[in-house]
Amino acid sequence: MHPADSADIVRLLTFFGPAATYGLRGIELRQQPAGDAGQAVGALRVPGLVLLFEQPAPPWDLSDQLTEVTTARLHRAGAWVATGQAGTWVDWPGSTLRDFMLFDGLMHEIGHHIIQHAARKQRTRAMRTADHERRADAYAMRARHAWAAHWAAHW
Amino acid sequence: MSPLARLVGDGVENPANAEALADAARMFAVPCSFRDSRGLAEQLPELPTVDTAGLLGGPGPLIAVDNTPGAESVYRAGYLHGGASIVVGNERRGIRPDVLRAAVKTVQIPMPGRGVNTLNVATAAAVALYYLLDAHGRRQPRAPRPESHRPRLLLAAPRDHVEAGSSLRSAAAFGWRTVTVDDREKVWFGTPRPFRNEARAAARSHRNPLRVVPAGDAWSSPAGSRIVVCAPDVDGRPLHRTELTGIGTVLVIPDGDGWQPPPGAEFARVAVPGELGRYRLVTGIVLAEAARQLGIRTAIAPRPPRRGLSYGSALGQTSRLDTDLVQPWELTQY
Repeated sequence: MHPADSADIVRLLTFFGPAATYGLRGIELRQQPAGDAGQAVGALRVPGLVLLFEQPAPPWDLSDQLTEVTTARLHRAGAWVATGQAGTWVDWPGSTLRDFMLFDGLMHEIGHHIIQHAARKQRTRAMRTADHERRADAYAMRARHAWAAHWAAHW
Repeated sequence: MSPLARLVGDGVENPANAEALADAARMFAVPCSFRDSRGLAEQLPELPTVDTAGLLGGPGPLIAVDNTPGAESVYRAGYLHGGASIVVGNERRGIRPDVLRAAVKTVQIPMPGRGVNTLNVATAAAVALYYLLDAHGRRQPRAPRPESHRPRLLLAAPRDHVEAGSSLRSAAAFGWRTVTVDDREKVWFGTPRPFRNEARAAARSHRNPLRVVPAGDAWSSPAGSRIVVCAPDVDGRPLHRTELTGIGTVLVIPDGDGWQPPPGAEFARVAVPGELGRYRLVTGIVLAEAARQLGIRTAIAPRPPRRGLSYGSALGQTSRLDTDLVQPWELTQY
């Protein structure tokens, strides 16, 4: 299943406008890639193609343990994570999985896109990968806060 | 003294090909026999045959000539020592599995051609014999940009339409796209329909993308070109020690001695220990050597398109927990 459908994506991109979509060529909802390690969330194909991958329906009963970074990331997104002898159990209350895909998936990849686009680089990395990831994470977090503040003002 | 090798046709079904195969063996002074599974002996009663036990249980090693996956290039196969049996197979089906299993080595002739990527069975046998029995001291192949050094090719005065067609098939298989034919014997252009059909069938014209250009009545070498005449009965360096490639080189393969080379031409001798062979056999050997010198490898699967720069995020997972996998039948027995 795709927790965030095309209507959710359009609503989000309409909110952020050209600042987020400039230079973007497309957003594709795809099946999980075969053979990759870990459960893929999203990807950016430079220049400007964002891929969002399908996710299993919650709750997730994973046979592997999650890394500390991933566990913290899921906690920040509102997931309930429990690790036991039988595996890792992840539940997504309410719309948290949809928001996780929208911000930790879509907006994170758009953050990568903006960095590359601003540097006008299509074949080489604009900065070190760790810095790239850190800035994309920061962009996604700012986007989440801006979105939350918008809806808090309207409620 | 026992011969260095013997040539065996395994399941050859066309009598004309069987005769050409026997000619290839005579060209290299080796005996030739056939394992007949296609009724060939009924049409050619004089044909020497060998049964399966005689083929598989022969005194020397079996060398299969077939383009099976994993086969070694005949150019790198090394020379034979002592009574080996070189086996070529059926025109369409190739060598039968029992021989492939028993063979100590399977060799293939690398062919970069598109559309046509096989040789006539007798031509393949001649090429294999040439490289397995002889051709010592070969020139090093070119490595970079081989296509820019591919010589032009002139088939000079072929005397038989089927030999000419089979030679054009070899040219396409070894990667030539255009061949000039000095057709003074009228075997390719403007021939009666039965001859034309036979010649086109020998050339595999239905899937041969080769462009055949008539040389005209007064063919003259292009200005500044280097003409290399390749034939078995000329006085020159051995073929495999002569530079056959290079920009401006024209390879000329005459059929017989009715074609007069222009002044200044170089000569390369197709050195074979036996009788002069058929035109298709000589042509096959010359083209194989030119392709070897070019350094063109067999067409391989194209490289997948290069994926550009990408970023991805995934849920990082560590090593699998210390658990046992339980099958459903174990649960039902529990």
